[in-house]
Amino acid sequence: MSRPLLQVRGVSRWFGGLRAVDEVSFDLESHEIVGLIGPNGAGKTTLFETISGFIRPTRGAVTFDGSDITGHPPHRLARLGIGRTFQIVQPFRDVSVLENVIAGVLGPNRETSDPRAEAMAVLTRVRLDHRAGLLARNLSLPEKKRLEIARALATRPRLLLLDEVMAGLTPAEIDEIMVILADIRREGIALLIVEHVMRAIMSLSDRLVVMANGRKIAEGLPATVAADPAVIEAYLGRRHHGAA
Amino acid sequence: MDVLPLLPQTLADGFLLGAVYAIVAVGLTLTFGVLRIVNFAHGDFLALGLYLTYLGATWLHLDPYLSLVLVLPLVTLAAAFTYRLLIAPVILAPEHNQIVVTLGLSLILQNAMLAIFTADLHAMPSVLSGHIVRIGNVFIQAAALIASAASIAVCLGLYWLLRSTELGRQIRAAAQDRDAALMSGVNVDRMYLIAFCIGVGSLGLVAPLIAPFNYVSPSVGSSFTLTAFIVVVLGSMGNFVGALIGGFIIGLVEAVGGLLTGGSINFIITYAIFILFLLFRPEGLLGGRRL
Amino acid sequence: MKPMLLLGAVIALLAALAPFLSIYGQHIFVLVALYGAVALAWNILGGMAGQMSLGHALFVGAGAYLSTALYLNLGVSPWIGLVLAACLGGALGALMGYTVFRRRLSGVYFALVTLALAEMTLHIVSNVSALGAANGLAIPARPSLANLQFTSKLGYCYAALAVLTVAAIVIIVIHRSRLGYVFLAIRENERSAAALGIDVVQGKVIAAAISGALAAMVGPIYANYVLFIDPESMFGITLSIDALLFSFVGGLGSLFGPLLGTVVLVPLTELLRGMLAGRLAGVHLIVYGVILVLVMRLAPRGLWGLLSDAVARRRA
Repeated sequence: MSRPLLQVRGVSRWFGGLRAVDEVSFDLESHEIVGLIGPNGAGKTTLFETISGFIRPTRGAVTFDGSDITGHPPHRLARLGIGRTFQIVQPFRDVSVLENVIAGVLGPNRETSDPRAEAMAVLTRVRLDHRAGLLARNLSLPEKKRLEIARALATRPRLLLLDEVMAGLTPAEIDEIMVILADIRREGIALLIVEHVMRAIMSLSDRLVVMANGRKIAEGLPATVAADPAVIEAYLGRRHHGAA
Repeated sequence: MDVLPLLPQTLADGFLLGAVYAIVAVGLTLTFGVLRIVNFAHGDFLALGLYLTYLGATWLHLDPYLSLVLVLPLVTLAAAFTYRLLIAPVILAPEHNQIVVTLGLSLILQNAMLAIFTADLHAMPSVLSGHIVRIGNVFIQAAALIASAASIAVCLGLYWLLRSTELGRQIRAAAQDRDAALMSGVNVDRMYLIAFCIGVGSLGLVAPLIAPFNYVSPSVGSSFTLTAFIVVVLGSMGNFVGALIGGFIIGLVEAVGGLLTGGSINFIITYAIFILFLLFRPEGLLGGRRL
Repeated sequence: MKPMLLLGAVIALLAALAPFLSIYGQHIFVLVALYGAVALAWNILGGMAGQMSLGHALFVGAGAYLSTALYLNLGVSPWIGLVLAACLGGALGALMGYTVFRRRLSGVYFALVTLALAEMTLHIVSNVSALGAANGLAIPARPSLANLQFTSKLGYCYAALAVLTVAAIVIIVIHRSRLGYVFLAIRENERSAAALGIDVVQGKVIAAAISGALAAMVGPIYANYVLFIDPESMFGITLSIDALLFSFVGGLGSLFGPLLGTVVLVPLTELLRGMLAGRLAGVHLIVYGVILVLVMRLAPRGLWGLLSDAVARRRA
C-alpha cells in the first residue's frame, strides 16, 4: 500500500482576522496530476505558498514522502524533491538560457558529473534546446514560461508545483505547455497545478481540488467536480478566466 | 559626581540639538520613509541651503531669517531638478541604482561646494545671534529656540499634510500602491515629484533657521545625512512624530554622552543604537511598516 | 580554462612591465593593484551576490590595524599578519553577514548597517590609544622581506600584484563553481533561488566572508607601503565609496570589471591631482560623482558591459 507523496492536513493560514486558508486537507499520490482551482481570492496562492515553504501555516501539517515538512524553508524542500514555478516568470535575465538551467541543476547541492549536459537534456525536454545560448531576457513570454519549468525540472523534483503557468498564453502556446506537462508526468513526476485556464486543467488533471473562501469545497474527478452544485455556485457570477 | 550641576544645561543642549536633527530628518522621513527613495545626498542639500544663506549674508547683506525667502525656493528648485534628472529615471529600478546615483550626487555637491567655498568654516551672524535666553541656570540661544519651535511645527505640519489633506492622501496612495493609484487617476509621477520637493525643499527652510548658530562647511552634509537616516529608522519609517521623538533621543544621547565621556564616544553610542535598531527592531520605536 | 590562462598572461605581462616603469609609474602601479584588489573583493559581495556594502573600508582597516599592531607590539611578521588579516576579515564578514542577512533586511538597510559599522569603528579606533588613536600608527622603515618592506617600490609592486592575483583567482574559481551560480541566483531573484534549493542566507554570508577576507588582505600591504595608518584613511568613507565606484564604473557583477574601473579611474585621479596642483581640492571627487551618475544613466553595465557589447557586435 503506497502512501501518498504529499499529504496536506488541516492547513490553515490566518492573516490577522482573515482566514486566507481554512482547514484544507487533501492527498496527492506520486504520478498524479492534481489541479487546484477556485475563484479569485479563494486562497489557492496562499495554500501554494505554505506547501512550497514560503509561508508558514498557522495550523496544520504538510507531509512529503512520509516526512513532516511543515514550515520548512523552500530551499530545503527543493532539496527533498519539491520544485515550483512562479506565476510571474522571472528568469535570470542577464545570463543565457542554459546558465539559468544550470543554476537549477546545481541549486540543490547534489552530486552531478556534468551540469552542462544535464541542463541541455532538460532544455530538450521543454523544447528550448535551440535557444540555449540566448540571453534569457530576449526570450518571448511562452519561452520564458518553458524556461521557468525547465529550471524547476533541473532540480530533479518528484513533485512539481506549477503556479498559473498558462497565464497570458495563446491557445496554441497553451497546447504546447500541455504536451510538455504530459511528458513530465510520463517521466514519473507528480504535478500540483494552480490554474485558471479551465480547459487545460480539466483535461490534464487526474483529480481536482476546489477552493473557495479559503476552504476546500469539492474534490474528485474533473467531470464530477464540474457538475458539483457547490462548485458551480462558487463560480456563479464570476467570469471564467482564460476559458478557451 | 561633578557632572550633575551641568546636567540641566546638557539636557537643554541635547533637546535643542535634537530639534535640529528632527527637522533635518523629517524631510527624509517623507522621501525615504514614505516614498522609499534612497537619497544619500539629503544632508548635502542642507549644506547647499547653508551656503546660499551665507551668500545672502555676504553679497546681499541679508539676515539669514530674511534670506529664507530666497533660499527655500532655490533649494526646492534644486530638489525638483534632482528628481527629474536623477531620481525619476530610476524610481522603478532596483534599489541600488538610487543608492549609487544619489551617492554620485553627494560627491558632486560636496566637492563642488568644497571647490567654490574651500574647507573654511563660515559663520553667519544674524540679528538674533548672541541673544541668549536664560531659564534658571540654563542658557539657551534664542535662535536655537526658534529653530526648535520650527522643528516641532514642521513635523506636526507634515503629519497633518499627509494625514488630513487631499494632497497627502494622493501622495500616500501613490507611495503605497503605484498601480492601484494609477488606476484611480492619481498622477503618481507628479505626487512623487511634489513629495520629494517638499521633503528636500524643507531643508531650504531649515538652513536659514539653523544658520545663526551653526557653522557651514562642505562636510556638514554627510554627517547630517547619516544622522537623518538614524533618526528616520529610530522614529519608524514614515512617522513624522517619530522623527521628532527620534531626533530628540539622538540629540539627548549625544549631549549626555558627550558630557559623561568626552571624545567622540557619543557618536559611537549613536551608531551602536542605530545598528542595534536595524538588526533587532527595524520598524523603529513606534512600530508599523519596516523594510 | 580560458579565464585562468588570460589571467596568467595578464599577470605575467604586468610583472614584466613593472621594472621598466618610472618611480611615479610604479607608485601608480601599486595603487592600482591595491585598489583593484579591494574593488574585486567588494564586487564579490556587491556585484556578484548583489548586496551593496557602503563600509568595506572596515575590512581593509581591520586588516591593516591588526597586522600593524601585532608587528609594532609583538614583533609578529607582517606575512603572518597578512594571513591573520584575511582570517579576521573573513570572520568579520561572516559575523556581519550572519547577523544582518538572517533578518532579511533589504538592500538599503544592509548598506546603512555597513556604513554605520565602518563609521563606528572609525570613532572607536580614534579613541583607543593603544592603536594610536586619531594620530594613527607609524611603522619604522626597516626594509627586509621578513618585515614585508622593500627598499624600492618594485618590491611593493610585486606584493600588491600578488594580492591582486589572489583576488582574481578566487573570483575565477567562484565563477566556475556552484558558488558562482548561487551568487547569481541570489542577486537576480532570491525567491527563485530558494525554490531552486539555494540557501540564500548562507550564500550571502559566504559572499560577505570571502569579500571581507580578500579586502582585509590589502590592509597590511598598504600599511607597509605607506608606513603609516590612521583611522580616517583606513576606515573613512572615501575608501568605501572608491571600492563601490570602481566596481560600478568597471562593471558591476562582471568578473574583472572592477579592475578595469580601477585601471581607468586611479590614474585619472592622479592626473587630475597633478594638473590642478592641489589648488582645487576635491575636484577629482566631482569627476567621480559625474562619472558615477553618467555610468548609472547611460551605461549601467559599466565599461566591461560596453566592451562586451562591442565585441558581440563585432562577432555578429
